[in-house]
Amino acid sequence: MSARTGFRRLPNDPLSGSFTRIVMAGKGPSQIVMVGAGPPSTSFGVADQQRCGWRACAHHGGRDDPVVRIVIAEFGSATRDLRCCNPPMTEPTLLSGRGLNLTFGTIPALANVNVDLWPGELLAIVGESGSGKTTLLNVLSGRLAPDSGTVWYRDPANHLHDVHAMPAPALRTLHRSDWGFVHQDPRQNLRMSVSAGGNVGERLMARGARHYGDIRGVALDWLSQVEIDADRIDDLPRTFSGGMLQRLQIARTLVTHPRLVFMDEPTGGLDVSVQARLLDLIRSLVARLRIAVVLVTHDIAVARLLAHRIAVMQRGQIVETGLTDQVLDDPRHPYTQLLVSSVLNA
Amino acid sequence: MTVMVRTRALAKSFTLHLRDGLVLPVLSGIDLEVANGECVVLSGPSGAGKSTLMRSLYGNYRAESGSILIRHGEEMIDIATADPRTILAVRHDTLGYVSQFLRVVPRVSALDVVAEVLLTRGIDQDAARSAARDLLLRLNIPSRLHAIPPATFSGGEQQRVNLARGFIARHPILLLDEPTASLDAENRAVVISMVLDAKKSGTAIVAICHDADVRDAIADRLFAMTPYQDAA
Ligand SMILES: Nc1ncnc2c1ncn2[C@@H]1O[C@H](COP(=O)(O)OP(=O)(O)OP(=O)(O)O)[C@@H](O)[C@H]1O
Ligand SMILES: Nc1ncnc2c1ncn2[C@@H]1O[C@H](COP(=O)(O)OP(=O)(O)OP(=O)(O)O)[C@@H](O)[C@H]1O
Ligand SMILES: [Mg+2]
Ligand SMILES: [Mg+2]
Repeated sequence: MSARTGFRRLPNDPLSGSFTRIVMAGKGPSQIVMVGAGPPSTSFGVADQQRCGWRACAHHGGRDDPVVRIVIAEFGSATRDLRCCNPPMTEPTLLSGRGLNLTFGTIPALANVNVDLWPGELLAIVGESGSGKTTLLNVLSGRLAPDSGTVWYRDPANHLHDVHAMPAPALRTLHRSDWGFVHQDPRQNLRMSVSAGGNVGERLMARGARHYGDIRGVALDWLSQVEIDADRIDDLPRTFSGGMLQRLQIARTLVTHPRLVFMDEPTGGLDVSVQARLLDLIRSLVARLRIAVVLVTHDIAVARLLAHRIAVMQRGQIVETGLTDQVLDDPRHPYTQLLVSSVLNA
Repeated sequence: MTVMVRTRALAKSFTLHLRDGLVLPVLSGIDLEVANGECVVLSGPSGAGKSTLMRSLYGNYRAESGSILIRHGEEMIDIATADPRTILAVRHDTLGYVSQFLRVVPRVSALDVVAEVLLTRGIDQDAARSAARDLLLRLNIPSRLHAIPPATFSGGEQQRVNLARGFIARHPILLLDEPTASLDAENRAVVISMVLDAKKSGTAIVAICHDADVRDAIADRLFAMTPYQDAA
């Protein structure tokens, strides 16, 4: 009997090629078996695969189940039985990085990194200087191509996009609409020769807004949301303090209501009281607008305050990931234990 | 009677990599069961693992083996194997936890610290704040403190803010770690009455309290724990 008797591949699977789906003939979608690496299928989240570093998942039936036998034959000891786990969360991921690798010379900046992000979730990437955090953020956001691996983005119409295979104009459109990027240095994002209000309005216009009064009104509203006085709307950013510039960058980024925002050390270089205000602002805006965020920070306290989940990086690898308070209060990896123990009141 | 919490053969140890991989076994073979409307107090000497067990129930510490079933709506969820997002959902709807110390959030007023839980459930701001105000007043936190972030509060005041935060959402399961440790007699009595009210409304409660008066007033049962070495 051929190994695939009783099974068939889904012919028009949008993801075929990246992984194989085998469906038990005549059975419903809950019988889907997912093997290999790829973005989440409809019946399992990649989290299920990732939880134990699985390469193969087999749903239903035990080791004697014919489906499971084939999966085991193909993947051997990498196969795990899903029945011992809770039913997987079915909400598909917004962004998934799979098998990301990138080396600079001999430096492995990313080594087989897998990441998932769900809608409305804030994921913090922490780790020491040079561990690959910024590199990961740039790869996830399509700004830097990996040597290997794939980044998947699911658009509002539920279509998956291979971020690094997208045509450049499509990626630019994504960055202007669905996505936002908050840099450590706000000058990288702001236009210093344009007024504060113009900086906010410009993103709206890039999206197609035309009515001047509306744009100014929205800009004013956003300046107030980031606690910048309305009478500063016509001032140039160079007259702003560091904390104000950062808040202006956040207003400029969020004005288009992105679904996904990448932040690289947004509070770095600011003094502590200014940091607290900014963190509070990010916390409330993200929760209220249900924005998904990948936040890079070397500050454990920032991660603790803001993040639902945390990923700890060391030498280009994610060495530990999980619920923020779990990872920080009950760290398992030696490097995480070191990181946590070296911070007061982490 | 409905079982709300059930652990089976729960075990937990810590591996201290910074101390040459020293393994510190803390829990083993823990079978705990708590029904709705019942208050079980974990008892045992310092270091017996009471807080460790409670944190494991909350998913804050990761179980090493065994299961931690928590009734979440119609389902029993195993916290020991649940993914992070499931744990967050269970905490949001089902599991309340009052830790020993309040973790303060910069710039957020005491009132909003307490009201926040309700806001995330879609209750409008006025209703949430008014419920928070009532609860803070019941715990003798005067109105003049409500608008101030609790960072500068006294230990006892912070603990009462923490209690208000824990009780306001009326979670079906409440975990209380030393809820009265830094409170005076008057405020201890308030906490006792809040626990009794919660029990009456069907809440399952797991508590740790060294204070014998409080324990006698709230406990239906004690769950005895011994330090690991003695148990082995
Ligand atoms: N364009 C590049 N060319 C060569 N090496 C690079 C380049 N970008 C990053 N690297 C190297 O890759 C590694 C990871 O860098 P990355 O900027 O991702 O670190 P990071 O975790 O963000 O650190 P920090 O906290 O200091 O910002 C470092 O060793 C860095 O020197
Ligand atoms: N995060 C942790 N990492 C390492 N060891 C820990 C951790 N948390 C607890 N322990 C250890 O587990 C043991 C039990 O601690 P736990 O706090 O659960 O005791 P307890 O019964 O609550 O004591 P007490 O009555 O003093 O609060 C102690 O030896 C403690 O040092
Ligand atoms: Mg960096
Ligand atoms: Mg304790």
